[in-house]
Amino acid sequence: MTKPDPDPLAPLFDAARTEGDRLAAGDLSALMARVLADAPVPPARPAVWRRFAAVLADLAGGWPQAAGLAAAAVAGLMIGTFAPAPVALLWQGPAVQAQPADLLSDYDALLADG
Amino acid sequence: MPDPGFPPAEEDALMQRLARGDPQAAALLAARLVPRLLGLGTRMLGDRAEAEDIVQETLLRLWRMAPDWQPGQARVGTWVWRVAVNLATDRLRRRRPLALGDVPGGAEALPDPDHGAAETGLMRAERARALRTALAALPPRQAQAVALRHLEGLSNPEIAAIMEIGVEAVESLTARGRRALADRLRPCRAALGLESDNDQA
Repeated sequence: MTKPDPDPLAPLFDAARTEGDRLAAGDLSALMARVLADAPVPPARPAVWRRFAAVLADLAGGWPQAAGLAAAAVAGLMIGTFAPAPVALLWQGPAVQAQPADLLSDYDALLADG
Repeated sequence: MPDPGFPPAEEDALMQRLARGDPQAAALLAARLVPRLLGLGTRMLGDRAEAEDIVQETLLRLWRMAPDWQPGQARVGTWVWRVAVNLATDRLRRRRPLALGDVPGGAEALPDPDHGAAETGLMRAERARALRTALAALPPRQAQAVALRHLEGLSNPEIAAIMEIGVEAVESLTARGRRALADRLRPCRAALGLESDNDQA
């Protein structure tokens, strides 16, 4: 006569553990890849031109000042490129042709004599 | 075991790095947690594909809650095991109920326990299936306590932390769950090769 099983459920738990461990064994790489594909990602960095504009804005003392500076720069560029008519009228070139100045005329003879 | 092996301070630091989107933090946590969670899933469900779904869903929830992680408030292992065992219990209970005597291929497919074949893989698989079927019929809290104690081998204090109850409540749930399992499995003990000489007398 054998001793009674101290835990009648023990063989069932053993079976479930062994069976479960057998199923869990094996390659995990595909599962790891799927899990990590869902992982949080770092926030996207702003584009280069945005970072450059932010630096300029800081240098100019803030966005409103940077906007004024940019507007002035664009206006200057437009004027320089297209030369609006009123500006052309304001500057027609010099009225009197400049003459070359002979600053040493009085010494010509002296120099010629050597 | 639920402890993924990180000291609490390191665990909190990893969660903060995870919240900032540090891929190395995610890889470290996944490397520790995935094999253990997969084992929990396969032991409770006996199905690799379903267990993988649970691992993926559990870690997805961990990733999502990383920004809200409160340092010093909880342990990652405890939190993760709570989620995983809940998911596994839900899956177990959603399965099509099988009678305990149902055997794929018919009862004749089982090896004859009288001829020393009880250790075969077929008998082992059948015992595991019978246990899971009986487990699925238990109230969820009893099933969780029994699974964490007898399939995962956790201590009562560890189970208490996971289930957010006291140790005495864990003992009570486990005892009632074991009694209910024994009652449900008694009619098929002979078919599972579990009748001892004492039982047969």
